[in-house]
Amino acid sequence: MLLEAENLTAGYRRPVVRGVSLALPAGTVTALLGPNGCGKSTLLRALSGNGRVFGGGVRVLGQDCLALPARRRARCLALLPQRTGLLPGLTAREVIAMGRYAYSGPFGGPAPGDAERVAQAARALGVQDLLDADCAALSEGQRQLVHLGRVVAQDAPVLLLDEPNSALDYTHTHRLFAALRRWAQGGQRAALVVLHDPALALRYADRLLLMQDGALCGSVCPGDGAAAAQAALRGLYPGLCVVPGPDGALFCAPGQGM
Amino acid sequence: MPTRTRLCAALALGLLAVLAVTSLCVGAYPLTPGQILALPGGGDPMAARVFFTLRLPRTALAALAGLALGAAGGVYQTVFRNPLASPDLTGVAGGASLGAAAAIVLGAGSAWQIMGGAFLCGLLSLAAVLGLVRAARAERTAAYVLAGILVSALAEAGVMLLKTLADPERELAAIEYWTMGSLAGVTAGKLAAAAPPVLAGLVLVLLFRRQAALLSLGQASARASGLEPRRWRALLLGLTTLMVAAVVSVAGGIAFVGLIAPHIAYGLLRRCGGAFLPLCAVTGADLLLAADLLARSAGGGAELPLSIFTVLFAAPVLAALLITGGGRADAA
Repeated sequence: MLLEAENLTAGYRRPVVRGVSLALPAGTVTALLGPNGCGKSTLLRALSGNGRVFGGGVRVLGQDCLALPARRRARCLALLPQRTGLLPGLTAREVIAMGRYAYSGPFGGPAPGDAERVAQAARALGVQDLLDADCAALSEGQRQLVHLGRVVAQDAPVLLLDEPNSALDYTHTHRLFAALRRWAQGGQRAALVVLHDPALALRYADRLLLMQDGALCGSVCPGDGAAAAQAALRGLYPGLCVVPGPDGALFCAPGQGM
Repeated sequence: MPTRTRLCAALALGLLAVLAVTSLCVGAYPLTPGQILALPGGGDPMAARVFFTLRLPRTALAALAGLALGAAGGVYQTVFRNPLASPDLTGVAGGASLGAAAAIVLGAGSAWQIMGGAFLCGLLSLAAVLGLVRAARAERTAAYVLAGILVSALAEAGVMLLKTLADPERELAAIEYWTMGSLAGVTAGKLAAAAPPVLAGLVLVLLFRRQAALLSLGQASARASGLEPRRWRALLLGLTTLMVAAVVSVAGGIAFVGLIAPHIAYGLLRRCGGAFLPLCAVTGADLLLAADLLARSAGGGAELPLSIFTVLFAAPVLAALLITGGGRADAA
């Protein structure tokens, strides 16, 4: 397991997420589904050392994640929050290079090999032609891909992504998740992705975690078949229909009970 | 280095050189560049005294103060991701003036007391503004501006109170002088007192500009990228406050240089990475040298307060920003 949370209770002034236990095995993409405000983002933030932890623990690559210094934690685990602040006047190259901070020298200067890693990450996300553009002038979707490039350039084995497709169009969304799957399967890596679309989750994730009112309320693997997936997902989405699609992947449609 | 960066650097540094040389020459006792160049080999003793005791410290301090204010403004605007953040609007300058005034009236008014008072009150004001913004639970431009106005007004009220307590013969004039900013009383001793904190702060904030840029991503992203946001924010703001306090303690409150230097630098460079922060600093030095030249020559023999001219410079820049809504104002 690359990341394990045990009985994690976390939040800000008071707990938002209660008693969450989860594990991310190497080579997999895990989706986290749940209604707005159920604590998905808080959980992701808590796993990455943000917010306040009231109980339980998180281990990343076998180490106590919450006790790690920020720099060492960043080499194990990267986070893309829902919104990232961005100053106008930074090029895509500069933004992606920020992901390399955890490897920088004593004054934060670039490390050797950074430029190559930045270019690689840009290629992986298909933004290699935008590297010299001002990020503020890019479309929302392109900007999101640049931020993803920044997180990928961080070279952490565990990625936590909070609605990475919220600003992306149809094509870019599918490209992004296909790239994410390739990334996870390419080595000792795992991703936890907050999503709102069960169809996307069924298609691209190895496992779906379902969350409600700050606690996990179920989980299912698309490999278990359409019936099992439908039964589990109906806990969150009443009446949802899950059927095998034309290419074998599971497919779903909203049902009458929504 | 991109062409635009090189052009901007050449422009800002060229202007700095011209202004510095002019500043060394212009004054009640004018010097020529020829006289100055003759000084190392002896030269005119009167020219030497004017140069070493008046002109050189004054010019060096104007440049240093401008570098400090410009860089501080650039750091504030980056760290707060807010185009209006500046030593003026975060209450640091107002607080530092109050601290300096308190050191004059309540203390002995020595250079170190004034600087310490300015630093302490500058930090307290910044903490008060940040505390108010935090309590408002909204990191919006309006919250910063309102909190800054509130804290600056309190500091101003404190200065007014100190004025009524001040000895009208000595202290009152000194306080008046502080609140409007002037380099007329600069001596080599004052330069020596202000230079170390300003230079140390300047070198460090320039070194740490990657950290400042990372902070602009927001707390969660900065921490997840490996930067402890609270520690670095405190360090960067502490360093800028130290620089501003050192400037205020020798030159008084100089308005708006820290606010407009980054906007001019951004307008020229169209970038906020790379050479942006150094350019903010040099632009600040250009502005301050120009303002000081006018302060000592426009009044026909009388020294005018520096802030008259820095405000005159700032007004068109701010008006242009307001009207075009351009550049960094969009980031609010």
